[in-house]
Amino acid sequence: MSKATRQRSARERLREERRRQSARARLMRRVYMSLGAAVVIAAIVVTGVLVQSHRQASGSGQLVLPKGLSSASSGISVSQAQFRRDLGAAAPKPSATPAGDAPVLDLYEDFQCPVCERFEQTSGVTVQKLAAEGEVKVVYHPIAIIDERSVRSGAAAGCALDAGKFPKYHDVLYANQPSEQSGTGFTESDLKGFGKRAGLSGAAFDKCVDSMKYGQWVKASTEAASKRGVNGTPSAYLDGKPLPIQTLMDPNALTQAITSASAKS
Amino acid sequence: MASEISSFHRVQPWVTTLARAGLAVVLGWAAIAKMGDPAAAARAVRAYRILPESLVHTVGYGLPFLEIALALLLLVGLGTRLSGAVSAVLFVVFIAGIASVWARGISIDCGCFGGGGAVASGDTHYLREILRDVGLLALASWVAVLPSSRLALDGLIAGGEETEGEETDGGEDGGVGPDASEGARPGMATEMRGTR
Repeated sequence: MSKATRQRSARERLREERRRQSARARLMRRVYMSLGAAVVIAAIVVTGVLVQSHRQASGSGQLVLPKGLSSASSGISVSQAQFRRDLGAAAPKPSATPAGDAPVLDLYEDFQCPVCERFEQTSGVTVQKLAAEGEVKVVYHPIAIIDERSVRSGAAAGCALDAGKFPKYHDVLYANQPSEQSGTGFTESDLKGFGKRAGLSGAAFDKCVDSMKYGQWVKASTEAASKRGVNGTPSAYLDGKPLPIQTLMDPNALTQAITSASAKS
Repeated sequence: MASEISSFHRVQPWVTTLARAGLAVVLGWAAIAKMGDPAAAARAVRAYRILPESLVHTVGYGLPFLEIALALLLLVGLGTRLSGAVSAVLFVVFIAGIASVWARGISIDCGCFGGGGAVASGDTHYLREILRDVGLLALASWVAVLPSSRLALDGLIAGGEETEGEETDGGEDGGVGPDASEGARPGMATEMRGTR
């Protein structure tokens, strides 16, 4: 091998070595970049989880249950007597079904939900009449899955329950449901005004609405509903079994489901 | 040499840049929408009935932040391959979750399901959502497999020598950032000095 050839292969080896080193350096830079990105992701996620958990924990006020409720998931039972009183002359004759045999209808509703409003319009009276007859026992669960105004209206309904006027107030709220697009409605003054329409008056109800006394209850009730399997509103369970929304929205199908449920027990 | 760089190699970095931007917008938007109501996010996770109750809150709270982190990294082009890959995995998980509730007949969108959307029947939107996520998965996969792009921090940090998946010589590259030519020069200069 000539000297020139030896020098050329030495230079080539050097070039090769430099190329290998720079390739290694490139690889290491890419590894560090990926590691850096991974660290950024982990940091943001962990911070986020901690921040949100803290917000949830500190945002919860004291849990106060409206009158007569034993737990956040128990819902509002309306008696046959109250349904009869509210229907007045329109109340059908009590049926022959013994009181103990009537199936329980758990109704999960959001006061802002338009589909719930449609349910109340189509099947609401049917439910009230069947309950007044004694064919079914109705338990209302106001939950808040839409936004803050759902919490406020649900809490106000709890205040109405305290005053013994839940069913009327419930109906007034649905009759005056704000449109989804409006972004307004169900303000504190709206909710207090509806109280008057339902026959509620006095400082106690107003104070209850303003202070959002039952706000925590609505949130806890919503969480309990979610755990039970409620994914949307309106949702219903007849004697603990989920009732399809199609049945719920059809008064005839609903009546059939209820009467066959009481026949079975 | 420009003639050796095929038109694919000229266009590819821009496609990846656009894919990065698109993913960043979609992920960022979805994340911000969920951050305002962590309780609702947790309920949404629970509705799928896949994770155990103990994980529902952590995932509900954390998922939007994972999305925003990915969105930010994709936006600035830092750790592009990794962000693309993690996003792709995320979309696979979403597709699997939707397919699972669809197969089990669980209605996630009957009536009002938070966020105010009123849907009368459950089924049809599942297919639409899966197709949407398949599209996003395609974007994320492209970014993960071909991460070189323009307007990316990766390009600055790597000194313009990013040649992901390419076998090119020395400093010549498929194109990353303004430093592409800068990075090549020092190497060439030393080589020239070495030959004197």
